[in-house]
Amino acid sequence: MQWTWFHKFASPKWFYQITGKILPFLAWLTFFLLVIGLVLGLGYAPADAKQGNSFRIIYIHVPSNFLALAGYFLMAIAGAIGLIWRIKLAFWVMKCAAPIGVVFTLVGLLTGSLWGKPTWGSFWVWDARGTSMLILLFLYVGVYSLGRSFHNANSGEKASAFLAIVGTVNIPIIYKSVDWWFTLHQPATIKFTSAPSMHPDMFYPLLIMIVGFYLLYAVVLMLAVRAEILLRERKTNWVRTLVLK
Amino acid sequence: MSMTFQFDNFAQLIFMDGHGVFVWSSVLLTSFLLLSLVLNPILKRRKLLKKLKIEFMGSDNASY
Repeated sequence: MQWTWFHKFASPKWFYQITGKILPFLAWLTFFLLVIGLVLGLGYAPADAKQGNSFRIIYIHVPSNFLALAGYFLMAIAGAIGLIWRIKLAFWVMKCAAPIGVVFTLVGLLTGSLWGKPTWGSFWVWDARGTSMLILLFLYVGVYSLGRSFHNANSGEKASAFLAIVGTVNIPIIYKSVDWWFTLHQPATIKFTSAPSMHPDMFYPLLIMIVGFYLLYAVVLMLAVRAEILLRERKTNWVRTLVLK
Repeated sequence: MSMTFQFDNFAQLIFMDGHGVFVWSSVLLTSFLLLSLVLNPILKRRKLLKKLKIEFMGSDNASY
């Protein structure tokens, strides 16, 4: 059965080596995109007609929340792969994705809060979008804590994977919350089926920031998994060779 | 697409018609959190490499 290509991806050594090669390039690209996106968004995009300059928070708030959601999918899928194919690298990716997801979700919530104050008059409202994002934060924290609470690491990983998979139901809820409920949070600006309802001069920096944040997530995840690989594979020959050279 | 700088001077950029405190707090807070997120695994890996090096060198010497 020609599955050897697939199992190559499961090799921690291969992952470590290939990420070592692409990380410098990715890191620089990420840095440039984020700097350019932020400069354009904060200084060059025209202010919003209704919200004024507070809308500039969008250049952090939206990308961060995109990654909070995408990162959760990645974490759940990694958990599923670990469970189905018993690939330990997949579990390590899942484990690393949890605290990263916490940070992106937290950034989303905090920037949302800071945006809410001048816009809605309050740092927090129990609106559908905000509340479901808070639940996402709890899910991330739950997956992380659950994994660590087991004496047996293997059982911990399986339990985390199950929680991550079950929690996936929250993602479409978050996504559709602005359509299903009568909420304060505004509906989607970026749609799959039609043009964005936003001026191009506002939209392009946002696009740059979204791409930048996706790359940032990839960079951070790779860094975290590399550290985890070294730890878990420290008894192997290839790590020994790596350390001693 | 010709974009112009939206503020008259640096003070205006900071103040942002009263919204500056919210925007810049977001920027600073996010930068701090994301920087920690990047640095944490880098430092962790370096620390581990150092520790392993000592361990492996030590075990190589302890052959008497």
